[in-house]
Amino acid sequence: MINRRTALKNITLGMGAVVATPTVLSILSSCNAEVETWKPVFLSTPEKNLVTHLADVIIPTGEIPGALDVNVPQFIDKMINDLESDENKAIFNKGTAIFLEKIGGTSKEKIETGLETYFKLEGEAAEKAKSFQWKSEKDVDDNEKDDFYIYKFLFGVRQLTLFGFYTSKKIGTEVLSYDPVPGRFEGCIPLEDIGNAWSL
Amino acid sequence: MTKPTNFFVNNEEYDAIVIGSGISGGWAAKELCENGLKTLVLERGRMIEHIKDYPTMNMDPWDFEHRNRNTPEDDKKQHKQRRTGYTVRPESKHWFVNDLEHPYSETKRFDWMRGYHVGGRSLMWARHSYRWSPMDFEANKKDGHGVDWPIRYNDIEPWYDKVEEFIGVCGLNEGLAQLPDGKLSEPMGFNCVEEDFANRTNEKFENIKVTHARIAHITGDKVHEGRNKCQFRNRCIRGCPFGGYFSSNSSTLPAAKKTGNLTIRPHSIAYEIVYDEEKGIASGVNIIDALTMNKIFIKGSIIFNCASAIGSASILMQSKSKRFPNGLGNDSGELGHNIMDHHLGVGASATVNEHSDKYFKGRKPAGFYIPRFKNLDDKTESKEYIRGFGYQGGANRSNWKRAVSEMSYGSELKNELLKPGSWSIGMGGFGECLPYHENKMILNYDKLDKWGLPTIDFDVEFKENEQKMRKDMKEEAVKLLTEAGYENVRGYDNSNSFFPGLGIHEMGTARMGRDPKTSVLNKYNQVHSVSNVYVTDGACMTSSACQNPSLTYMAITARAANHAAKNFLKNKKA
Repeated sequence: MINRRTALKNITLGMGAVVATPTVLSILSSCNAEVETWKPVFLSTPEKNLVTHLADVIIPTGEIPGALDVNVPQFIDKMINDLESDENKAIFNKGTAIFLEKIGGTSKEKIETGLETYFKLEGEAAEKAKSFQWKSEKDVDDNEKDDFYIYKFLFGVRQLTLFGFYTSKKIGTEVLSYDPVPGRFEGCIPLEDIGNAWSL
Repeated sequence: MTKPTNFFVNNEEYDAIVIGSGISGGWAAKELCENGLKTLVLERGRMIEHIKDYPTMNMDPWDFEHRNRNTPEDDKKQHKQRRTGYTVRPESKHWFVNDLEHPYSETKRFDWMRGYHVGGRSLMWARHSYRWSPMDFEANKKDGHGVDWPIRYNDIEPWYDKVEEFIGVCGLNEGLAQLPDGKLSEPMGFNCVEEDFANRTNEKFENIKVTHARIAHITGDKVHEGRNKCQFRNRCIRGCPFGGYFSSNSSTLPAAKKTGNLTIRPHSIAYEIVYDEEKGIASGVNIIDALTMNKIFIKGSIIFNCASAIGSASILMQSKSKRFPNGLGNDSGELGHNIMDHHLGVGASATVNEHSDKYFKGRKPAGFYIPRFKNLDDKTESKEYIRGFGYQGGANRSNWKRAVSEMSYGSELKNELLKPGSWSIGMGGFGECLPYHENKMILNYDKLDKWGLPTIDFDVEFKENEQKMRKDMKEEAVKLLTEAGYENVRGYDNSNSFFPGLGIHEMGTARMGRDPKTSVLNKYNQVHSVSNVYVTDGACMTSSACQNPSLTYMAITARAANHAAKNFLKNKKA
C-alpha cells in the first residue's frame, strides 16, 4: 500500500518546484479515499473514523494543508499504540465509547456538534473541563467519570493533532519558517522579515 | 552470567595511562602526548568518532519515528537517567547509560547522570564556562568549611588562559572580581528581550551584572583546527558535525592523536590501580576487557584518574593493598566523602508584552548569565547563609505548544499557531554546596555489576545552608524580573530538583588539600602518598563554588599533566 506521505511526495516531485497553491492543495486534500484505506494498529474502525473527523475539525484543510493532509490520524494511532501505557489506552477506549454514545453517531456533523458541546465553554465550566487533563482516574468522583473519560480522550486527540500537524515535514518545511543551519544569530529583527514561526 | 576469569599481562608499557576520555581525560591525553609521553587512554565504553558516530546530528523532528518522544521501553531502561527530564530522548538517549546494566543504590536519592563512551560527558555537557575567582579558592579558609585549597587563583590563571584559547569560549569580559576576565571570543549576542533585561537591570542595580553566557562555542575569526564556527542549530546534545562546541572528540583527542603518541583503548573497564609495595608507587592499571571479559594488567609510569568524580573515587577505593587497606591514597579517610553538586531547579519566569513585532534568526544555545552577587562584601552579605549563587537565563518566543492545553480548534487556531506567540523570559539559579564529610559514597560488595565489580551506594544530601540560599535564589529572581517591568512574574522552586546529582556537577570525592591527614591530593593533584597517581577530574575539588565546573577541571588537568610530564622527562634524563 502506498502511504500518504509517499503519495504526497510523488505529487510534489511531479510538479517540480511549484509552490503549493490553493488549487494544488485542494487536489491533495481531495484524496480522502486514501484516508479510508489505511489500517490502524491501535484504533478500532469506529475510533478511527472518530479520530479522523476530530483531527479534521481541529485542524481543517484550507488554503494551507490541514491535519488530514499530513496523516495526523495515522500519527495519532501510532503514537498511542507505541507510547501509551495500557492504563492510558483503556481510558482512551472508554472515552471514545462514551463520547460516541453521547453524540449518537459517527458522522462528521455529529462529531462536530459533539466537540462544540464539550469544548465551546467559557468561564468556570471551561476551567473545570481543562482540569480533567491533569487528573487521574482515582481523583474523580463517580458522577464525573463520564466527563473525565471524554475529556481525557478529547484533549488527547487535540494534543496529538497539534503535535502531529506542526511537527510534520510538510508544515515544518513548507509552511513554518524552516532553517536547519542558520549559520549566524540575529537577535532582534522585524517579524515580517521571517513571517511564520520557526519550525525548529 | 560470565564473570571475568582469565588474567593477562599486557606486553606494552606506557609512559602514562589516562583513565577516562571525557572533559578531563581528553585534556590529560593532549597535554601528556604533546609533551612526548607515550599515552594510553582507557575508556570503559564504546568508541565514538567525531561526526561519524553522531547518529541524530542532522535529524529534524519528523525524521524521528516518534517525533523525538520516548517509548515506555526507553524509559524503563533509563529510569534514573531520565530524572533530568531532558537527557533521555531519542535524539540523545544513546549518550546515557542503561540503568538496568549499570545499577547503583541510594541510601539517599542521588541522580547519577553519565554516559560510557569515548568523549564521556564532553559530548553532552551544557558548555557554560566560567572561571572561578580568587574568592572561590579562599572561601573554605575564610569560613572554615571543608579544608583550605592548596592552590589559589594565581596558580590556575595561566591554565585558564591556555584552556580557553584552545577550546574557544565566547562571552564578554566585564572586569568583575567574582568572575575574572578570560580569553573570550565575541559574545553570541542577546535577543531584544534579553538586551532590555540586561540594560534595565544593570542600570538599576549597582552590584548586579547581567552579562552574556560564556559558553565553549567558536565565534569570531580565530581558527580552531578541524572545527568550525557555531552554526546556531542548538542541537549540541546530539554531537556537532561542525565541531562548533568543544568536546574531547572534536578537540583534545584529535590533538593528542596528531602527536603519534596516543593509543585509545575502548571497552576497557579500569577497576584497580596496582600499588607496588616495594617502590611505593603505582605500577599500572588492572582492567576488564568488556568484550572478552578478560582481566588485563597494563603497565604505566604515570596514572591519571579522569574517570569522573564518582568513577575515579570508585577505582581508588577498589585499589586495596597492604599499604592501603581502605583504598589507594586513603590515609585521611576522606576518599569517597565530601560529595558536592550544585543545587538548581529554582528561579523565576515572566511573560513579556513587548517586541511582539520582533523576532530573531538562529537558535542561540545560551542566553544571559548573572554572576554571583551575594556575600561578596559587607554590603552584599546575607544573614541567612554563606557563599552564593549565579543565574542562567534567556528569553524566547513561544510556538504552537502554547495552545496544547486549550480547547480552541478550527481554522483560526491553525493559522494563529503558525505565528510565534508572546515572548517570555526566565532564569534559574546554580547554588554553591558546602563540603560535608558525611556526604559520601560507599562500595556495595553485596550487589555486584555484570563484571563482578562492586556497585556504588550514595548517601548524600543538601543541608540547611543550601536550603536557605535556595529561598533567596527564588526571591531575587522574582525581584529582578519584577523590577524589569515584566508581567505574570512567577517564582518556582521545584522540590523534585533539590536532589544532589541533578546538576551533573558531582565533585569532591578525593579532595585536594594542604594536609595529607585531611585530604587525598596535593597541590598538583598527586595522591599525597603515591606521587605517580594523579586525580584531576571533579573528584579533586575542595569546594564547589557556584560556577559550572568543567572549565576548572580542564585547567587543573592541564596544569597537573604538565607537572607530571615535566617530572617524567626530568627523571628520564637523569
